[in-house]
Amino acid sequence: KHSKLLRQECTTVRCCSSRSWQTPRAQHNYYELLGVSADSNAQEIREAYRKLQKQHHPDIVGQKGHKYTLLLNEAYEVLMKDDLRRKYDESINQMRIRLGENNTPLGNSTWKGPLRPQAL
Amino acid sequence: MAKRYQGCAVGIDLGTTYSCVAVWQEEHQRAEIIHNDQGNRTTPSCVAFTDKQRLIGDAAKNQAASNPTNTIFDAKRLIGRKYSDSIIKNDMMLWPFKVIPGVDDKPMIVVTYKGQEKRLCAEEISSMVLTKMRDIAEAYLESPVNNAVITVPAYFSDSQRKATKDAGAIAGLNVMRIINEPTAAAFAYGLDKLADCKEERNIFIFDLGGGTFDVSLLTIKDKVFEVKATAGNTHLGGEDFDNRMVNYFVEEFKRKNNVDISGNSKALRRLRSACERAKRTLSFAFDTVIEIDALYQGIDLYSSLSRAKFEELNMELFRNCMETVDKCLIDAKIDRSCIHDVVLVGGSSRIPKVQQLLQEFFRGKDLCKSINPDEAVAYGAAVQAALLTEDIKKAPELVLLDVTPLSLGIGTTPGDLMDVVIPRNTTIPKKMTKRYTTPEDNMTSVCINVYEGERTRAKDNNLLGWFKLSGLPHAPRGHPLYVCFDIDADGILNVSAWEETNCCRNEITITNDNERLSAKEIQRLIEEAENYKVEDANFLEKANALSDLDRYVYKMEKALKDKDICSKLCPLDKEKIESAIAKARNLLVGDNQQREIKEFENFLKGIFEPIMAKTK
Repeated sequence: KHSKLLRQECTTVRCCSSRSWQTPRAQHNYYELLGVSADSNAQEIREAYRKLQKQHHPDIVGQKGHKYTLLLNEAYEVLMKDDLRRKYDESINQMRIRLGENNTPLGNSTWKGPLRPQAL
Repeated sequence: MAKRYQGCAVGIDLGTTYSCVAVWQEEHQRAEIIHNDQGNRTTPSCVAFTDKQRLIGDAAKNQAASNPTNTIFDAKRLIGRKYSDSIIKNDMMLWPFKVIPGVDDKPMIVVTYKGQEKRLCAEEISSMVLTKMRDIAEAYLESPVNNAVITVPAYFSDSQRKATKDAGAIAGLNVMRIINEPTAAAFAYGLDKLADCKEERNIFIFDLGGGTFDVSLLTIKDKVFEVKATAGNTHLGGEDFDNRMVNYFVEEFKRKNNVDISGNSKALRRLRSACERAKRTLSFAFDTVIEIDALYQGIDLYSSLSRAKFEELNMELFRNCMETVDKCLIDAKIDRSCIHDVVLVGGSSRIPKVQQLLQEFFRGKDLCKSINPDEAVAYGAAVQAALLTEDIKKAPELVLLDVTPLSLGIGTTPGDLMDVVIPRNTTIPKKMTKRYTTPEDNMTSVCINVYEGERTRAKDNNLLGWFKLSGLPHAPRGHPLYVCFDIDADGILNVSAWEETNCCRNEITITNDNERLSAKEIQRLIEEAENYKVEDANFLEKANALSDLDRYVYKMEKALKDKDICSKLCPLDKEKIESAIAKARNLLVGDNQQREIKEFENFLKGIFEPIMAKTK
């Protein structure tokens, strides 16, 4: 009973309208993660996703599969939805352009993944 | 945590009205449904208490009409719910047993056991059913069973799932996983019927059982089971159809005979059993008669019911089902024409009208009736149990990608609105971080209330847990805070919150909320369950001892009646035997300890045998 009283007195947080805070999508390369090319279609992505799930799902390999499966689910969610995938493609292409402009801004890393023509 | 388990593991379908247990058979590469001690493959989820003993399963159901107030069923409708829940209020009017509010508004069932009043929670009743299922499996496998996968309706809330898990713990089972009933059925269908299928198939599972209704849409390919969407109603099933029939006949009886039977639990129980039978008959016949002799005050009930009338009584409920079907397809964003198989699961899916409506919904598609609707769920649970067991090397190579059935989020100001962090039907595991802000200047602490549900106002949803994030730095309103939801493959949710500069952080794992039984409470209930077990065993032993004594007395009496033997007996011996028989008769009708009975039997033997030896 005491805990319930305490909760009512306490203020909750306010919603934040802007969504720009989200971690940049380009943090992980989803195409590389799934082992598919950037111009692959939904069916190819689905196949790759399933194949990897069979290898890494926590039900099969235990707790160590959790993190990888999280990433797989994230990549799959983004790449299977047209609008999300378009945004993601834009963000990685921008990164590629930025990288091209000032040569090596992030050490020696360069974007070597295939360019998705329809996304540009 | 997804971990591997050792030892024997079974799958248990803990149903509202019937339960079923299955085990994976490695050598045959299939799951086997285990029959109970009566030879039935499903066991009534029914527990009864008498002045002598406790009964579970068929034995309990068979005596229901003569002991209605102490025969408990429908525990699944109570589990994980509050007493003040309107659903329970409605159910209570139809239950012959008594339910009262307990601590924290927890519903408690009141029974009379061995002449004493006892209060039991739904978890305890369910644990007794689970114990029975475990015993059934142990008898068949001839080895102890410790691990189990238990199924629940896909639409069960978090507290209902946890309460089910607690029931497993009280029964002494290690619950490896709680899985959704339609998903389990999909395993059964996918493994059994689509073993050689290489193309991708969209499967629609329609699971209408005794008390709950679930639908799920999955895509299956190469033994990867991907749940796309799930929807349901945790309070819609065969029992509700029975209720409508019972109400109809109560009204009819009132009209014809001017007597109201609604207060008489024995009459209601008899009427309910007759209605259930009639309902089953109407799945293949077009009309049926209901005959109950001397239902109330010596008046017989004699009436008929046509299939059309049955459908009319329940049409509203059938339409409800179809709305849920529609909702599931909308959620999955899959058109009904893209569904390859519509699979029927659950006993109530046999109702012709339900099949007809479903078939019309899918534009004349043939429904798949090739799996046993009563057993498919237990079959699938056994498959999942095998997957999670270390010892089984040749488990079917499948993987289940399950979803969250309800949206998860937190309450926000102003207006206590629910802000969804993980929407329903998201594939798990899933991790999601969202930014929030402080609503006022210089706040030192905020509350994070974690909810599940689809309602706009946070407090209309189920509160899963809450915690306080304190030690915030002095800052004007709008100071950013982050909340992260992390849900693992077992469906266990972990919520953490921190302030931007990471000067404070707090988190909660949603495992033990206040409605749930505490570890101590579970321990107490485990001990109590052990007591019940001992008492049951004692009762059985005593009954055996009495029966042995009875048999021996009969043997002595028979000897006295035998002219051959009688002629050889001296009058003194005869008198001795007669007085011993009289004493035994007294003992048989009285309430004695089992030890006394055994001792007396030996005493009888001591008298009878030397005398008999003389006659040889």
